[in-house]
Amino acid sequence: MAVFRVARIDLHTEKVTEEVYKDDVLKKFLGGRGLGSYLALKEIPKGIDPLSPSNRLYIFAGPLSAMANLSTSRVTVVTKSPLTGSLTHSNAGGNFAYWLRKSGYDGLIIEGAAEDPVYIVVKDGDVAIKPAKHLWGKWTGATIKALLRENGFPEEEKAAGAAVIGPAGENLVKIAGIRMSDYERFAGRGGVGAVMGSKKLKGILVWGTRDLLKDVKDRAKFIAESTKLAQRLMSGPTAKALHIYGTNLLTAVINSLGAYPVRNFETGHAEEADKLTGEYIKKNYVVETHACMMCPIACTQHVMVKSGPYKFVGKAKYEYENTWALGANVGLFDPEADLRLQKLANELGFDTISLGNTLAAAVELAKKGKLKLDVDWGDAGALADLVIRTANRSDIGDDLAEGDYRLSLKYGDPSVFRGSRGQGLPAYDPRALKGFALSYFTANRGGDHLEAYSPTWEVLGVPEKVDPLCETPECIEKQARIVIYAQHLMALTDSVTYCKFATLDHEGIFEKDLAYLFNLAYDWDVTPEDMLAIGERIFNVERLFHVKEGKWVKDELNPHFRNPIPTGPAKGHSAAKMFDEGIKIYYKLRGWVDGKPTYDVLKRLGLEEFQYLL
Amino acid sequence: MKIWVRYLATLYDLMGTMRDVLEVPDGSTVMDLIKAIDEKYGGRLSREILDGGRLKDEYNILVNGRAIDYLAGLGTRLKDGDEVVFLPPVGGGL
Repeated sequence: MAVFRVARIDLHTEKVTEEVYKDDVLKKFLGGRGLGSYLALKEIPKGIDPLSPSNRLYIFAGPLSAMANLSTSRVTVVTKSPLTGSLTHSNAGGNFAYWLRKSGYDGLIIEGAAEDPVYIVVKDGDVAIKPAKHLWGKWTGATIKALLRENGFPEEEKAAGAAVIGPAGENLVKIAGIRMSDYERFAGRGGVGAVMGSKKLKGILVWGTRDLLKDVKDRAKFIAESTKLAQRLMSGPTAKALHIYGTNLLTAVINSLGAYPVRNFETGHAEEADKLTGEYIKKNYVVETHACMMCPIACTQHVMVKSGPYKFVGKAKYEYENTWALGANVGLFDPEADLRLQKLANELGFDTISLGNTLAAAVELAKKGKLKLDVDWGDAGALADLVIRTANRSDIGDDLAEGDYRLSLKYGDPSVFRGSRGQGLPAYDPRALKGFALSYFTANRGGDHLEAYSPTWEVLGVPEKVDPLCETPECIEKQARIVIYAQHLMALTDSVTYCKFATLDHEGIFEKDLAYLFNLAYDWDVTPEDMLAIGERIFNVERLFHVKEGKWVKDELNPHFRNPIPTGPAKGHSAAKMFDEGIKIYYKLRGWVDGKPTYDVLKRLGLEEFQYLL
Repeated sequence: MKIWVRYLATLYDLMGTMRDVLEVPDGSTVMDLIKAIDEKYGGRLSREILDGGRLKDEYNILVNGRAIDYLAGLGTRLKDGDEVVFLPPVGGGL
């Protein structure tokens, strides 16, 4: 039997209650994103301001988190997003999930709000709420160090798990993230950092000595079998390539395909991107490779810029998305300026993707004369200045702090917003990787590439190869079907929890392996089909949150992507046909009507308790 | 005719360069280009990416951004100014 322990912490009353979820709930939703979304749908009152004390933060590991060396130290944050105004989920690696579970709890629910800044310490089952006035205003790296030091740990992020906000979260910047240890890991998307800020919660420190395999039926067999799976995972070619170059090996690849967004998605190819590639940065700036706890892939690359105008102190974690968001998408192709912006964003506590989207929207508005701002594409100094102003909400930064969607509305040109459901898009142009025409615009949290990552099948051929530019009826049907499969599998990764990078090879970890591991660990008797049904249930629960709020129910293609891509290898292609024809098939396969689940679907998935929402 | 070539990720390590330009006869195919590259680099590329005259599953080749799976495979004909990209397995965008 699996047992999932949650500490519910009310920051207003400082009352802590323990809740235990057992097989009846866990077999339906697992933990992480699944259990978080289920509780959020039940508990978060309709229509509340996401930055009011009524909002809740669900910070959940999963029932297999940190139990096997299968990239399982991942934590998901679920809340009502101040950026999109509906449900969001955001996932981080590092060591937080590991230490959270070691502390005695599998999840934390934070509700209410403190009067003055506080931080939470969870040590071997004891929850303490401590004053944090002296930490308010500090950058994220310094905050983690202070939490460690004040609680008797060495100032090394591996010593305990920490989740903190920087000035961006404190100032309720709607594109603020939560930084997690170890090192510069982020639950970035959806403005989850602002929700933490609204609760006056500067940080959470978790540590403990709990035996994570205590509830496992046959400990030796579980370790032996999960180790075999880890060895298989590591034999995959993508896992190996990720270890050498990290995620940024994608810059050259996606650029070669003509799917690399440049200057706020103006086009999909940049001749001048060579110095932003993983190959170039590895050779010139990477100082070490790092791993999340319990991960055999170890894809993380740490960089330093040691001299010149963009030098910074210490090391930074850099990624493909960040490099694109604060590079090509803002017309910046100087790797040192780009890496420094990434470091700055991590220290101030931003979602780097939405920060890049917002800066790009601001530059485009300025170039069109709609926003009075002296800034141009690639202007590293002005961009860094805007990042700091946004974190502090000073003058024009107060508008940027509202995010790209609201910025575009305020300055009268919604067309500069390149996203969905109020959140900007990540580093792939859906006109050149057409699976994204469906996956981006059906993603529940909006502006998202991680609810279904189409390069998995369009570039890597997993589970099967699909031509990224094909628009025949057969290809459109195939895309709709695989997007749905991937949406269910990705809901599982965020709820089990394990890393999506373990799903990129045929040698990776899929529903069959998950069923095997759960049966082995907890004496369950679930099938691979049962696992995918859990994924489907989670996806529908999230959609029901939109139904409850009356917001973002119908899926819509952002109009910009109806225009053909003007240059590069995918020149002339648009996302219109794939979306317009694919969405009909998608709804039919899901049993939905105009983006809304039907009673029959709820009944099939055992979600009748929510039929009142239909 | 002139073909612009790129080697990415682990193939960049193998070849020691990211960009390359090769002169091949008119009407050459991708396979002819690989042979020309082999002549220049002592057979390094085909030893890594080919197996019995076919492309290993984990590798891919793009001609002007299109995977050769959707063109004519290694028999895809090239024209002057084409860009050919040699891709090792890649993934991940978090």
